[in-house]
Amino acid sequence: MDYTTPELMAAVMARLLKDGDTVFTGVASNLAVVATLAAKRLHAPNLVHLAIASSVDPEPDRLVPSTSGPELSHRSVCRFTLAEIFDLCARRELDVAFLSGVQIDAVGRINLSRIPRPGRPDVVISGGAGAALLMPLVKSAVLWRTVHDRRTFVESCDLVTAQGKSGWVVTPLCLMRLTEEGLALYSVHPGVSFEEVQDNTAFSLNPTGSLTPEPTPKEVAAIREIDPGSTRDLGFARH
Amino acid sequence: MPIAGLQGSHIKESAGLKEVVCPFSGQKVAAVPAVAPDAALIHVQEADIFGNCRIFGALSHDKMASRASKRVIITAERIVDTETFREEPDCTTIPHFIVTAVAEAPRGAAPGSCEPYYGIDSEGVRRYLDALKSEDGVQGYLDSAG
Repeated sequence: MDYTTPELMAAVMARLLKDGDTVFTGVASNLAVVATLAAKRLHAPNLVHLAIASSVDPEPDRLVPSTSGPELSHRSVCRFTLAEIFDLCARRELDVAFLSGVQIDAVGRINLSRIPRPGRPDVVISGGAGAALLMPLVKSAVLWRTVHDRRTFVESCDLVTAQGKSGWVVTPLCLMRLTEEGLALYSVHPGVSFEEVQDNTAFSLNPTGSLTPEPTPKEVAAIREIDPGSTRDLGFARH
Repeated sequence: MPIAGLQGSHIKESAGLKEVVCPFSGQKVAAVPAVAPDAALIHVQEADIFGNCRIFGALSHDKMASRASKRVIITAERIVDTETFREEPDCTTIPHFIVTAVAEAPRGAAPGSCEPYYGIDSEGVRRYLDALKSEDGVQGYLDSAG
């Protein structure tokens, strides 16, 4: 089966969603949106998609680079604002939130706010306040990153934007599990070795022989149908 | 959570509210505990079979109660197609995923009002209140409501 890294990651992310789950997708979340729509089509028809475009179960007729615009409120069944999504999560009724971090560390904390640089101004990153509210309370935080390197997967975040104790991390190299004990390697993707994952991670990982199953032809077909314009490739290095 | 108002009111004591000091202004403010009813029974004008609901006109506490309650039971003047909701999502008051059950119940709010289907039936309200005075009265009222 021919597939790209974004397609593999979208399939892995879709498999983490169960039928009936309430699932939040935010800004700049192209792969998360594709994965959510794919899960709904493949194995979770009763999944509830809560998009940051104030919508419930939108049926977008096209995907564009923005995931906060009107395309993702198209044919929604209800206007449901971000404030209501935060309330839902505070009541512990949000099952999954797709989030990310510029830094992700060994105990499962993320930095989406600020990176210090010696002798130079800090890099200030916009956003992150939503993650700080959602990540500790959502039942499962699914973090995803388009790169897996030692700059991203650090021993300890320079600044902690948010911390969670339950969820997953999906990268181009592997799938990690987030528990109260922190991050643990769950499976490595096809064609990737444990050593390669460890070399690109600044904290030490538990060796595993577990392999991420390849995306099935059905999964790849669904992803391509949902996203003919390949918004899923945004943020990935071009080859 | 802290809320504005209630200064000088006796309701604070009778409702069991507490006072906290605002860490920003230093002023005393009332704090109320979150209310999470076991169930909300809500009558709406239109619902679909999944529980999406439209309430037209006065919302009263219905929207808030639907969010706060552990179970949400809906009766609707009429069941409409989900397509109705997708055409005008801004009109949806309660989304399906917080609803436990839905049933079609025309005149479900009578003798109260449900605009634009029917207004308040004052005579009916009187009969209802009279019926509540005895168990036989309640049974008779339920039998006559069929």
